[in-house]
Amino acid sequence: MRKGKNIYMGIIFTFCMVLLFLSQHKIRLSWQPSYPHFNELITEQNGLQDISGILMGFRCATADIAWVQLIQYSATDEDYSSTMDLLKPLTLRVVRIDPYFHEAYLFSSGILAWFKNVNRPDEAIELLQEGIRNNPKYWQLRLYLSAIVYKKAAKYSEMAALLEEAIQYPDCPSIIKGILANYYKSSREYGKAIDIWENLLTSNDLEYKDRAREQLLILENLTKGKINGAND
Amino acid sequence: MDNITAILAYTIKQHLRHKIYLVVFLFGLVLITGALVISSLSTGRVRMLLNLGLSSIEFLALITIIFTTVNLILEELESRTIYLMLAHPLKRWQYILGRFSGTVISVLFGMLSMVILHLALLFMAGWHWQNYYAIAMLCSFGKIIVMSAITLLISLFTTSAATAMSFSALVWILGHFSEELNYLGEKSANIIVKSVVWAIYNIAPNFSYFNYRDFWAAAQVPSAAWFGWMIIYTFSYTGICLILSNFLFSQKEF
Amino acid sequence: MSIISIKNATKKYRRQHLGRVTETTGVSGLNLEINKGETFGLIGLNGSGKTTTIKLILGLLYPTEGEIEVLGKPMPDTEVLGKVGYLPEAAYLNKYLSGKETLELFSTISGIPRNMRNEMVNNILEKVGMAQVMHKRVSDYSKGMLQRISIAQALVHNPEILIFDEPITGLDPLALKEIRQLINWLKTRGRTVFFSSHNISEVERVCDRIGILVNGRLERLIDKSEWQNHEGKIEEIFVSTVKRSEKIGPIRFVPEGHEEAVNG
Repeated sequence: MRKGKNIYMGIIFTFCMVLLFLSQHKIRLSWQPSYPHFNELITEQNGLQDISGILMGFRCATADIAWVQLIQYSATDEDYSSTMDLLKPLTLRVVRIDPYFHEAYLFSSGILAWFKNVNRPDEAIELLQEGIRNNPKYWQLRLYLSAIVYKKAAKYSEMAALLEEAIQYPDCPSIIKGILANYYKSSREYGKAIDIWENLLTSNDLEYKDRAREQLLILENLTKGKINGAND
Repeated sequence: MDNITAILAYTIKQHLRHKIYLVVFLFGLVLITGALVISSLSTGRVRMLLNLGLSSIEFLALITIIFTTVNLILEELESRTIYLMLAHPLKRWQYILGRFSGTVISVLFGMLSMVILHLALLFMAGWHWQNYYAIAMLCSFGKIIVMSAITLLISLFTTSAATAMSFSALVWILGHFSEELNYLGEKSANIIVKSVVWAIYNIAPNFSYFNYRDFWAAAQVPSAAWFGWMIIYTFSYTGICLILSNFLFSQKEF
Repeated sequence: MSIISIKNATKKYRRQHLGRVTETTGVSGLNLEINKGETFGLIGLNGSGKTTTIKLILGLLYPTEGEIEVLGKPMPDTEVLGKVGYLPEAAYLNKYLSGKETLELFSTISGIPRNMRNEMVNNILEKVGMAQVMHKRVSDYSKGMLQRISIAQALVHNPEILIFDEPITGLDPLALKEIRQLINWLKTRGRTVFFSSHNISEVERVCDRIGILVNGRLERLIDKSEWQNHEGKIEEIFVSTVKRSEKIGPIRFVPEGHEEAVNG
């Protein structure tokens, strides 16, 4: 009787083993998650934090912690007078942990390409190219890349047109909207700038809400000055 | 079937009334609420709240499952309540299956409670329901089922709770490292290293498959058939561990 | 007809520690047949193998050599265990359940049909005097209450064979009397009772046969006719049969003038 039970268990065990290897084979053949290898991670002194987060299976959360550190770095200088030398490596750190973190590519490439003291469009392009390799279907990356290329070639109206398209996407970072608004302000297209800042006033980004209030006041004065000038 | 259900119900009652279960559960609530605070440091607050919340739920489930499963049989052995159990007409495989299922269901209750809180915080932060959340949770739960079966097996061939917990944690890490290990093994010229890595890669569970929350935003997401194979993978791996656990348990003397 | 049959059973415990292997014998060459309806008492010193014998009968231990059969089937057999009620030496109950939940669990795994469970559980709780406190957690019970629930789980499924492991150890005189009454009650209903004990006076009051275990060997089997109407006979046989393990000697606190009686 016991021998019979053992044979029965043996059959079920063998069946499970076959199913296991078959399913494993099918999974590997059809699709596997693809991430940069450990030697491609840019961890600097955060190696232990990043590697342990990945090994524990919490990739996205680890990338988010790295992202917070990046935001803190980028927000240390309120006037953005720094040249942001570490922005690209910090961003690469985030996206090598989570290559599907779209906002990281957009945010950092925006600062690198358009902030006047930073002005590193080549680094921005490298970031976006890496983003496109990992996320070929995410159109916004190609849009930004095109806009930066136009900026490099001083084709500002074409650049603005692409950014205008980019800011229609719901996940467009506020920083990009701010960049376009500032461009419109510098090219005296105050109406378009006001539209963008009014949109930012209703967003959830607290920092940009405050900035929107400031800029709207400035633009209001500028528009009055323009009207007064016209009347004169 | 009655026997399995009776043991399952008994296990659930035991876990839900255990103080340590309550402590872990409360800690989980704290972690999720903490995610709310940390997410306010970032732009893309909802994404952070989502990721940290999902990770916290899984992390707490992992701690709970390791702790409860390791002590599942060991505690009964120490208190000798197992003598009375097995002195009744209860087959050893029924006992194992009932205890395992009861433990998994208890942890599911805990996860669901944390999910409810997490969803409430997400909705308050302006997030709108997306199906990927449910898929991510189901994948997470599948991982926990496999981990529970592995931990049960480990607890039956080790003699101390600390050793069993350490080995279980090691398997968890190995499960997330196996793809990288395979890559390193392929690069090696040493045949022994290649063989060992091949064995680990094929025997250890590959937990990266279950991390849907990490790759849902990828350009190419897996098809429905892939998920079908994942379900088969989960249950066949669990089945193998339970059969081996039953084998070890039936050799045990009390 | 023998209901419990132990044939040449040996149990050796093997322990390995840091490369060293130690082997201790639990029971050796045990031959014993228990008949249907018999009340059998197994007595011996601590460590003589009483609990090992009981565990071999229940299938909690596997014999190194020999065979153990209950109701003609080799143990462990789940069908046979449905006809056995086991009362361990201590109440090994789960402290997170209430008394009623404990009995519901054991009544389910004992195979009592669903429609009869509630009634049988309530009946047995009444019989053991625990009906008023059945909803309290086991962790809140006193030692006496634990013993009662333990007895209840052994009897709830109306078993043919009862196996008690030192049921009267540590009991007060009232509880002792209740256990004696229980065993007699079971006897009158034709149940087979197998129990182990240190208490010779209680054993001789209820048993039909007594076995004396010494260092894992069944040294003597005594029939009731040998001790009935011979007060102190079992104690006499026990003392002459039992030898202490070489590792421990007798306790030597004796009144002055009785040293010779101790030293022999």
